Amino acid sequence: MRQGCLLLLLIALPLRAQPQRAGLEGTVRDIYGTPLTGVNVVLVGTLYGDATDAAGRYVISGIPAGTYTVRASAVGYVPAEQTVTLTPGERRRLDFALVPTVIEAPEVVVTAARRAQPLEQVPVSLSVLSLGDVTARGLFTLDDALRYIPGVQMTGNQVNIRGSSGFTYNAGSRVLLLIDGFPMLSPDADGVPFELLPIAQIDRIEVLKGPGSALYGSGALGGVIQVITRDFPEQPATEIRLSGGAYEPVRYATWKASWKGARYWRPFGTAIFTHARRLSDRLGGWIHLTYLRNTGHLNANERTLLQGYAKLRWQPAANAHVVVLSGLTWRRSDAFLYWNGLRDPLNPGRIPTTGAKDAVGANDTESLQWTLLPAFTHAPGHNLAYTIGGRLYVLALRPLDERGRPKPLSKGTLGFRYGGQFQLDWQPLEGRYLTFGASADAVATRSSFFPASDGRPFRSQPEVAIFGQWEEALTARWRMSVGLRFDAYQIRADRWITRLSPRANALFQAHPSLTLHAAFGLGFRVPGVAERYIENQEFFPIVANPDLRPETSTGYEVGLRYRYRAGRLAELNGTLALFWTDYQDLVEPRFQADRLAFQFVNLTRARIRGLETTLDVRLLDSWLEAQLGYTLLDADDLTGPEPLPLSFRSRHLLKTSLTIALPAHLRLGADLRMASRPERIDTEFARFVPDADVTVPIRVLDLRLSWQRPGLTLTLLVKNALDYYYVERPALLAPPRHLQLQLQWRR
Amino acid sequence: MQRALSRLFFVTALVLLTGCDGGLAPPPPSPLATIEGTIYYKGPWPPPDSVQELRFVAMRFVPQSALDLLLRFNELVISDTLRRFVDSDTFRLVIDLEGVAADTFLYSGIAWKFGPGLLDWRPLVVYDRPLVLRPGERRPIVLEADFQNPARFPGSP
Repeated sequence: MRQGCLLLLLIALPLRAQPQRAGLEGTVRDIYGTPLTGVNVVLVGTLYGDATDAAGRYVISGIPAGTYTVRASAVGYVPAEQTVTLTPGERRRLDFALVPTVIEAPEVVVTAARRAQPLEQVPVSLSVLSLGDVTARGLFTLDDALRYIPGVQMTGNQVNIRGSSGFTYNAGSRVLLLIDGFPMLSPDADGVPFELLPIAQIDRIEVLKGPGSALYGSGALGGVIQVITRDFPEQPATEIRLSGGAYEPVRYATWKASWKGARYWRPFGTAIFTHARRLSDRLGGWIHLTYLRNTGHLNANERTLLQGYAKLRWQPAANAHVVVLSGLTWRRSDAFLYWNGLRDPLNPGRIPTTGAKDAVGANDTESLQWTLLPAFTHAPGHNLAYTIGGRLYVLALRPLDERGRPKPLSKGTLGFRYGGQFQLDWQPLEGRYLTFGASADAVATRSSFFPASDGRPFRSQPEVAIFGQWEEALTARWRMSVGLRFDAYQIRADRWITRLSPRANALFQAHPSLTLHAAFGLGFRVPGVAERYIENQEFFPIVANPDLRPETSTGYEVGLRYRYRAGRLAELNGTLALFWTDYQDLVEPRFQADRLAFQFVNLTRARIRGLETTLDVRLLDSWLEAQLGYTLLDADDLTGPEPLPLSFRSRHLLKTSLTIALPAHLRLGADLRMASRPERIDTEFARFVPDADVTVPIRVLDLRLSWQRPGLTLTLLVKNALDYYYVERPALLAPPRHLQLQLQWRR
Repeated sequence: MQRALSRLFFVTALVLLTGCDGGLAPPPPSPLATIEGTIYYKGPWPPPDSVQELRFVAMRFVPQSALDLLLRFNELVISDTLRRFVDSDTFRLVIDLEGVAADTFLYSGIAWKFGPGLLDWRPLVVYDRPLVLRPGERRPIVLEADFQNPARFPGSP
């Protein structure tokens, strides 16, 4: 009866008061100008409201005169509010520009064209690993997470996207890391800093495959890893994650005999605390603390890490926000460099001819890293937005002496990477997006490995860039985009290196569930200060080469993306891509007989072509989830007169994952990673390190069983369940079977 | 259907668990041979800075210079560091003869590291004949070194 009266009242009120009532209408778009469908627009504290249509329009009529707070909200966007005073009979227009926040829908990505867009509109190959995927697998660091992405292979600390990197003995990364859109390679060696960001703070990891320098400049030779951090939720949230486990003793008596640590379970564990809350309607943020301790599965391979991290977001207006991300990481670790041979792989090796007493295959260091990433985004019009951002990355690295005490910083490395960028996004017409920007960055590094010259202890390498791209929906089914970027690097006071990187992409929607794409792009990587200036006799004799040229790549790709949905019964997503990338002037270390030392030189010309297919299946309302990714690589070294297989590349890569729901809130899952044995490996390393040329196929099976209740998840993981012994890079045994128990509590 | 898929999951996991080899493994014990040597020093020793290290080295090739020691590092076997500023010392070198009926070392002797550089090595004294070692063999050798008259690399002028 009461409900009936209420209904009558609701119907009657607007009818009775229509002449004195006001109206509100407008459009809701994202900050890049794309109309948003299904956005709830409500007058806070009233029943008045509407949802936007396909064009992003909403209309609310019959509103009594007065002052209201109008709120627009949608999943994946920061809710926006505006205050409005309506007079009787007035019809007011009120538009909103929503800023993407936690990008929950798998359709939305951000890396492909520097702007948020549905996956169906991305004209290149892209893989995504979500926060849920990372958490379910009990992963601690970014490199652990990347191992589960199709087409990605780790060789030690180097990321291979479709065979891009191989193993180049700590040369700079051929894959670029972006954190929320900002390039972030380490200032000392241009490597990917896997521990820079707490893994629990990662919302999703997107891997863009193929050369991407037209978008992001140097480093994107083989691809781009975009890490998107979590944003704060609507309600306060606290999470505690405790994880502990141990490496199983190796099964071979010969190996145990040479290191007693191998006879016992080797423990590791981590404790993570995160808290997020809104401090006001406009201010909110995260704090995050991590403690990690890993005794390691090898002798001299221990690691301890303490990390603090904060992300603040301030929204001074509905169409503007400031995000500041900052992290401080202290790490003490033994870096196991190479083994003592296959008879003794658990102990670091040594090279007697160097004569140095501490020239063993391990390098103990203590490091402190600090990052600061402020960014301001403003959408002054419904079709215009710009972002101004900065970045600072400070690294202080000190080697440890024989007693484990840090040596002075003068014996180690102090590095800075800093810069800023401006980006303007403009949508002059429906279906047309223009992006322009400029950036300026620099590296300044002082290291005992880089001898000072001209009285200047710091080696620096500043760079500037301008970029632009044009994206156009030619018809309802055809989209194209072109981009161009100009980079200039100062490698010496009197010498600049410049690169012009174009790209072109086309996308055709053959069917609502089928898109085809073609892509062309150039990539390059300017060698870092480490490769140019390193001089060392301690581990290997190595001398500087300031005249290194940039590595370059040219990539072509055609592919398709298919999606099928049958309600909750079944969902299938599939991709197929054929790719071809030519590489020039790849930098590799070579022994130079005339210098009696190694030196980084431009050496290799290579061609990598192949295909990649992925399949993602969900059945019976996600009762079963299965993923499969297969990559076939035909990688040739074209340096000599006859093509040879390119070193350290596996011809076949397979990643599979299967998860099923069991009774009693249990979920059982398995991940299988396989890679064929590289057809060829470099022999330079094997001159000095016994059995460095030994490899086997990779077959790693991980099992997981989780029990989930609201706010609580308990997960048992068996990593490398087959206890399969293998190497990802020469002379470094990968972890044996290890057990891990993880407790996650959320409130 | 769920039951069938569950069974498929477990059967697949079982096959994977039982169907793979174990990956890398230590090589099987190899037949070994041993060189047991004694070195006598005569004459005065050079200053300590000029004798940074001494080792017995057996090479499967004849080196032309110190560079060969580096470039063909995996074709030689090398002892632990010998004592310095003594009248005599002994050394023992175990040779792995995996996959071969015999191993031949064409050039062997005491290597002298006379400076800090990576290639600051030279022969001090060379064993006067090739060493051919068979499984289980123990080969005693005696060397006499004189820092005033060190040996030279075959490729040296």
